[in-house]
Amino acid sequence: MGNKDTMFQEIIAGLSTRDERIQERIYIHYWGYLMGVSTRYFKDRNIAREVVNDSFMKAFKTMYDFKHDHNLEDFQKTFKAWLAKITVRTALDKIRANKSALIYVEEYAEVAGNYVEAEGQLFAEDILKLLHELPDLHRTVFNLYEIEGFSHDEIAEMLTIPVSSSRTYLTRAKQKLRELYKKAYLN
Amino acid sequence: MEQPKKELIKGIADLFEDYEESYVPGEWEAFLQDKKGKRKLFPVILRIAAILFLIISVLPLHVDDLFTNGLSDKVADQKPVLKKNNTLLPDQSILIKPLVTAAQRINRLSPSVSYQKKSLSRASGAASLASTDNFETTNSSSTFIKDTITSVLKHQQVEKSIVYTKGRSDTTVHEKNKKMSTIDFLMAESKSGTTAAKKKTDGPKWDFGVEVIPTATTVSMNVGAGLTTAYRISNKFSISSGISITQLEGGKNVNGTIVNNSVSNNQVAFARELSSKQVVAVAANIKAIDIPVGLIYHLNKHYYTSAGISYFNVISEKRDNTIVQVSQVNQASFDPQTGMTASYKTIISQEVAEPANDKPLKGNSYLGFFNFSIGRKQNIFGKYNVLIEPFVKVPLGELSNEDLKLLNSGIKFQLSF
Repeated sequence: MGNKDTMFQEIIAGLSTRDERIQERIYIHYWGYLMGVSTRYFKDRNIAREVVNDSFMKAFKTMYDFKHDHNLEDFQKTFKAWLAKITVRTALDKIRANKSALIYVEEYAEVAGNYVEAEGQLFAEDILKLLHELPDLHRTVFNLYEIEGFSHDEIAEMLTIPVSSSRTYLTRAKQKLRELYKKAYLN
Repeated sequence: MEQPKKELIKGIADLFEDYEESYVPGEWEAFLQDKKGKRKLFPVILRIAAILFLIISVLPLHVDDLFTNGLSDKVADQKPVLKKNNTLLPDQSILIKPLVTAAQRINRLSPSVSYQKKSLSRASGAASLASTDNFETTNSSSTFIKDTITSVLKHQQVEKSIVYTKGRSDTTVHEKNKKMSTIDFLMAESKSGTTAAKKKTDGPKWDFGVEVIPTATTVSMNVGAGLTTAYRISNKFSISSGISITQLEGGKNVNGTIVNNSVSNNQVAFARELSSKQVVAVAANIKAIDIPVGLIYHLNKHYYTSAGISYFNVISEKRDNTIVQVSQVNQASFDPQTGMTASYKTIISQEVAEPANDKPLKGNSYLGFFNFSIGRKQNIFGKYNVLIEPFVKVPLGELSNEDLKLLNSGIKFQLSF
């Protein structure tokens, strides 16, 4: 814990003096977290890595102007959230650049019951596999709403879709995830 | 200890909230390399621009040297070397060559000029021309030419004396200088005719023009206008550039599930689609500054072809999404037999166009298009030409990845002067 505090103090000092050497520390410390964000959007790890690297490039350009109140705990949270936000937006840009975000919407069969309980511990690798079985747009809306915490209005603006569609896609994504989970782990 | 059971979605959200992978050694080093690679891309574009700039600025100074016959200059550059044994080796030929050229020109210009000794060959040597008495002119117009020849012959006499005079280096140097000036004079004289003729045909190297550019994308017709310039680097090639303001309207139909107006038998699907919207098409109107750089190849006097690239800066962008909206409405109908009003629910589907807030292109600059064209140039009067140039612009880089189809073609109408 002490080491971590020292590292953040160094990062804060480096930001204020515009020291480029802190870039390496930031990269190594946050790479895993940002890869975690990126792999939720892209099945292909190479694309996910590319998005993470692009995000770091953007962050390194602007991080020296990052506003904080020199409170170590607050800085850790806000800086991490700021990096995650950059990664999410870079991922969305990538999705948009590769193809239209407005894609085919699959019809799901109705599944009885909206409540599915997780059996035992959930493992990220297993859930990522399920997530990547969802259509891109559904997965993206699910990630943005359930994990990143964006509102439907924000999602609609980011993805250029109507707000009602964002709600529909989220419902369908959740429905499909439950169905896939039941099929894979409960039967 | 057994973990408390959670609803699946809540469990997933909690799982990923602070989820992170472990760092893979070497990623930072790979990132640095990647960063360098991306930084290099821009300097490459700068380098290309710098090279083009250099070509444009340096070529006017040397283009004459590049495209004129190098023979005469080569002759002039060679300096006569006096060998130790006082024999002039290759330099005799240097002297004889211009003499022969001059003599040939005399014959051409003034047929009445005659030589009693016509053999101006290397075999006869320079000495054979020493006798000016044998040289006659019957035409007063050739007086200048006669003087020229006389001076060369005098020079040849001097040359002879150099050959047979030993150990007088001062004189040798002096005579050598004298000889060079004569050669220069002859070269200049022999070149003057061709240079004058060339100057007549060359005309200006720079062309400027104004253009109107109607273009067509897959969606609509657009129009642009601009200024152009071209620099002629040789008879066959020109470098062209310019600046134009273009309006482009691009669009794309989205291959999604489109809900039909007629109520299909899949009513279950409809019921689920109630109050849903789906984007079926995107259309964007872009205004941009286009700066093309291209190489023009002149096939002949009238026809040319060109290829190049464009720098594309989007100054304004407007996007509209076409949305199919399905909604459930209550409708009432009047039964004429019973006189009762019956209300029932129906599903209607309507297409609405609404502006989008997203403007991903605005304010961005791109290495935008590959440009290909062929054209015809027609002189109307003086230095004014009309150019009609069908072209096609193929988006490249980021523009080609866009949702919109920005591939466009059209015809440039240009007035150049």
